[in-house]
Amino acid sequence: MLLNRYRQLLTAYVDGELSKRQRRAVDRLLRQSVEARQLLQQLQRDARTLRTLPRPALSEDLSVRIVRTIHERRLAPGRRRLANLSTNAAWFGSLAPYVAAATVLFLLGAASYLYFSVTWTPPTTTELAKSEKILPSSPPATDRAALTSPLEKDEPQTALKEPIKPKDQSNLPAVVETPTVVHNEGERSKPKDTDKPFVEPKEETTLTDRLEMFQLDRVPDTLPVVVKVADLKQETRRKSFLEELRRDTNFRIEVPCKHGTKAFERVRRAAPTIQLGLIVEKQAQERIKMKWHTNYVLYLENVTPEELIRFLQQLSDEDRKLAGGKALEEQIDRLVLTRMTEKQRKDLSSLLGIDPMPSPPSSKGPLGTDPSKPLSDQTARQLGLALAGQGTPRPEAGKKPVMPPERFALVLAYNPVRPAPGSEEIKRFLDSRKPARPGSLHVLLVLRGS
Amino acid sequence: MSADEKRLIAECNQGNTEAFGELVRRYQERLYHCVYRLVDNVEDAQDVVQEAFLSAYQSLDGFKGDSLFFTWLYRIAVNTAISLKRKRRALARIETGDEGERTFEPADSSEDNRPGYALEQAELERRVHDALNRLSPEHRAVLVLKDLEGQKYETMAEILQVPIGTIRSRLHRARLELRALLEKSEEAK
Repeated sequence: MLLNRYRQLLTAYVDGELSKRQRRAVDRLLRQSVEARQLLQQLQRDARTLRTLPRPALSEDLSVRIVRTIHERRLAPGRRRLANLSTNAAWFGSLAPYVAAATVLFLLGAASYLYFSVTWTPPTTTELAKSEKILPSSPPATDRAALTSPLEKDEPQTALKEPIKPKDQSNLPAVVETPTVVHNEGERSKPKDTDKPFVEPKEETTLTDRLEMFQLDRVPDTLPVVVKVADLKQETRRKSFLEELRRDTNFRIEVPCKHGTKAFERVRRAAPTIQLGLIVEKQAQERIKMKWHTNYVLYLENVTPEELIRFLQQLSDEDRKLAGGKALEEQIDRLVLTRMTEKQRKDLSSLLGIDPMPSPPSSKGPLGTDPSKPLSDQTARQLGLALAGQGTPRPEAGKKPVMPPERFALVLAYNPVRPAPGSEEIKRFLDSRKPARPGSLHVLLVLRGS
Repeated sequence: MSADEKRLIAECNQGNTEAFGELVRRYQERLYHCVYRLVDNVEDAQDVVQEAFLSAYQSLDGFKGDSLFFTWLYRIAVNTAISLKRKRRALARIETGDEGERTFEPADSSEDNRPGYALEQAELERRVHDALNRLSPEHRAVLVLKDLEGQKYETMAEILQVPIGTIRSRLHRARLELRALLEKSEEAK
């Protein structure tokens, strides 16, 4: 077995990056070792084969596409640095109020601590007694008697219970004596009070809720939920998933799949189940046409939790149908449901040019239309076609009518291609938006190919 | 850097996108070959090249001409390709539960077996291609830059932004790993 340093020399020899001295050393090694000669031959053959690997030709001139993208995205030299700078500034800017608040709180805390640590002296027993008289938490004797349960009165005192004040106090140290002064004169005169368990005032105050600093509270559950899509057919799974969807209105659903474009085909087939139309952005269209490996994101809104589940169930059915019983051909297995983060919402807003949440306000007209609003381009086009006799054909007798979409989802190529904001498809999508139905969701559905 | 290249870059900085189109036309093929071997997928390679050019365009005003324009371009593209490959490998690990047993796309053996190649050579090429795909993105990058692109250690260090010693040791490990993978495939034959 060759030593590692010899093997290093041999690989560097193949790279042609040896000094004269190292080269002489390798020559010597090659003369002496058969193993070294064999290894070098193999390494040289591997490198030669690598060099002769076929070089695929570029199928298109990318310059046209790149220059077009520069225009579409309005890119310019130096913009990236400015963007980075502004991102950093924005990042700091968004945190600035919190930093300021935290600093003020810290300074207040520190100042209070310093002030009280200098001015505070422990109270004497007399002071304590005086203050006890006016303590709101120390009830009068009659009230205290009422607060003490009969069970406490009758039961023998155990070690866990409050200690009974001893009758003979002459032998006790002064510290133990002090609690006797907490009762007022009236209380002391009543002989039955002396038999009651003594409750230390200090303990009583520290246990009150109003003085607790870190009280237990319910924390919103934001952990991701992983669900096997096919399992949504089961009643229990469906119910628990529905419950999750009702906890919020903005979600992100990540669907890992083997091939994004193939998975998208399943989405396309499942969409009519909930009368969902798809507006596919230009770059996504190209990639679907070419059947390229692509991740897609669908933004859908105005969809109720029940509709979303129906859609996902159909998605699973379509996946099985298209796979034709071959498990390897199935594209979709599980999904991951998370709440949409503020950043995702901002990204979506910058892409669409508006904040899509909340949805557009309800129209005022009786039929759900706003008569003051001009017709959208799409509606005007459809109306024109209908008037010209080229509209949606009437369903034939005996055939199930094809329902027109009630809402649209925007489909974008998610990664690595970034869609251009303000594209024609995005405008069409914005144009097609309808007022939100109560309880409807905003969903980012990501099809992520491996 | 040639005077013509300098002129084109200056024009780009003044907002002339056609000048940048010219730079793209000059280097796209070469960059594509390199990136293709790193990502092993036509679509990804095109996307990476496009993104690299777009990034380069946006950072063009920061290019001082200390290195060759193409080396600078290489650096952007190779790093983009490596991070893409890393992400894909991480996902593959989650999905398959093992490391490197599965490639993302089956090797297109038909391309290697086209007429004109001796059968043995084609078989070797296919195995080298497969083995290359199974290397880590960093090891693959050094082999591609060295053997396919014929770059020197110094340039490679500049492109990958690591010391020359790292390049040397990465290449050493990459070659031995490639050899081990090839031996394994020879045994399995």
